[in-house]
Amino acid sequence: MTPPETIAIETRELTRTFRRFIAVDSVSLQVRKGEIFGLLGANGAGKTTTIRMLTGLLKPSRGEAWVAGIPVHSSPEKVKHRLGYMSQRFSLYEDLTVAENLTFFGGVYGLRRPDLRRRKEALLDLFDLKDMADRITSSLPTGHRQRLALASALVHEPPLLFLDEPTGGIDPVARRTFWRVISDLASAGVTVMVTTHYMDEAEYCHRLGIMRDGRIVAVGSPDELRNTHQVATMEEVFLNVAGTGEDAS
Amino acid sequence: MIGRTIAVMAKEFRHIVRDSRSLMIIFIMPVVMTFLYGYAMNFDIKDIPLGVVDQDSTPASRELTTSFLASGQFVLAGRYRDMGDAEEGFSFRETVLTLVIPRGFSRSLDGGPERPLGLLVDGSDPNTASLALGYAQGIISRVTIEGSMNALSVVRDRSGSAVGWEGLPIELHPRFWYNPEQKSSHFIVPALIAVILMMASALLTSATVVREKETGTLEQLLVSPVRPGELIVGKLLPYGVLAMADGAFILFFGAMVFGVPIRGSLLVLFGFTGLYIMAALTIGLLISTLVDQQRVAMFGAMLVTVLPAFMLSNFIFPVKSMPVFLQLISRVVPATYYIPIVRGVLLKGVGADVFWENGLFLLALTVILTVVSIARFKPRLD
Repeated sequence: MTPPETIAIETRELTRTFRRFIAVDSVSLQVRKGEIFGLLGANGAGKTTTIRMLTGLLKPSRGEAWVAGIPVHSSPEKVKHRLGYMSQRFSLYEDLTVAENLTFFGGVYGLRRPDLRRRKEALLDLFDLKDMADRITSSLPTGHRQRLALASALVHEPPLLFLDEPTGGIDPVARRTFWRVISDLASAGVTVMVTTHYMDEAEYCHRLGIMRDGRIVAVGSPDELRNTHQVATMEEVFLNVAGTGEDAS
Repeated sequence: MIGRTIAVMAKEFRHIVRDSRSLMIIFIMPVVMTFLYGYAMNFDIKDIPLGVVDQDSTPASRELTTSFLASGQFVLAGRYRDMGDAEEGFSFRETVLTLVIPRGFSRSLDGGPERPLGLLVDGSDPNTASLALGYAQGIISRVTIEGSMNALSVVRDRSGSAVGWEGLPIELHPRFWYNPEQKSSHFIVPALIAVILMMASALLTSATVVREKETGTLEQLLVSPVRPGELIVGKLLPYGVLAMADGAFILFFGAMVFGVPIRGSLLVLFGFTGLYIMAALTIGLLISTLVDQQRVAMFGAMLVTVLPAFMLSNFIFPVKSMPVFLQLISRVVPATYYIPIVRGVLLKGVGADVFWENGLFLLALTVILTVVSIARFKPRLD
């Protein structure tokens, strides 16, 4: 059954196994339109596998995944126009320039030339990459690469954005700028699902789902989670529900 | 759909321009290979070491020896007293062929009792042996024919009446068409072009998909709306243009360096070469979709292109004399179909009417491999 219009992402008993290993175990959750939803968890908790199923990169072993009203578990192709995705690993063409990467992804998403030019201008502006437009991507500092990756994911103005550990390896200042852009997008109605294991970043999320061993073990806004567990910080919440939390910093 | 294919093509062109390695595959490797194989694979045999056992020691026998040496195909390696000596010549690899002129040879030319000449050949290298033997028989028949013609005329002088043309030996004047100088390079270089083209083209595309797997960019492509067919075709066409330029380069370079004539139509040659190149590119592409590492892909591309193109394509070794299963494999080796074309157009100047079936096979192979590549391309990570 199609979820209501106000729900951008819904999963029902979403499960993925790799041989006998259960990476994601019966995950059911709802993300509202315009919400920033954070998936929190240690490495191997199943965050990336969940995102990969939602973006159509992996086929669920069981369960359903609805994204923008489209059943991704059965017709992953239909949702591709509507989502932007930034993988954990930097995955743009390092031998192309900044502008060429944007041009390519614009072309792949079917942007017409005038739209493409307008979007490129806007994104280079937004991410402060104007001076770097003709630089070969491999020569960019990490922070700039991250911005370019996000810009490329946004070139077709998707209503949904999936970010898999987008701020790994960049400095705190760059991270704050990055999150400001994410917040602005959400205000403009874009739904964002983001994985992270930085506790301070959890505060930027409207709601959080904490994962452990492939399961969602807690869901709620940062305040709700702190209140339920009667602790002062997210870190404590995380240690309470996610066990060891050895990868959480 | 067209737009996405064009986007992929534009991107691939940029990769090509910025990737010095692919440009090296394209222009430097063929030059090196053409030189190396073009000069090394030479079947012209000159200066065959000749042993002589002259038991006759007459002007006629000396003249026969001189004829061998004057032909340019033999050089005198040693004179031996008898067969035992001559055998040592073989053992020490001094000689490849030994001419034994028996006592009474000169008289046999003048109508005396027949004294057969002996030719001993080192058969451990059958190719050289049969060539040497061929040359030797040619020289001997020329000399003895001249000799017996003298004999005939002597007979006529004595009787005073014409004996007529009866018994006059037939003289052979063989003419080699298409390669009158019998240069083996004319035979080798066109086929060599086929092998190099096959290898260079397959190597080019073998890296394209697997490189995206390695760098992670494939993941970004898979979440995008680009379809496997658009990706495969978008990758194929830019490399097609590049490989075609490379093909022209290799053809002209090979022909120029080794003086191979281009007797046929260039249009026909390029048309069929284009089909052949596309077949090679799709082989590389299919490999690229199947494996996970660039190194494996390039090694695989070398393996499945170079060896069959050399061994199973009638390049040098006739497929007809191979076991049936090898003959069957040779039927799907593109070079089997292209080598007759490139040899035919360059050396014989024949046209498309002779080769359309071969062209059709190459086209069919390209289409099949493209379809398989698209089908094998997994639109998901699992």
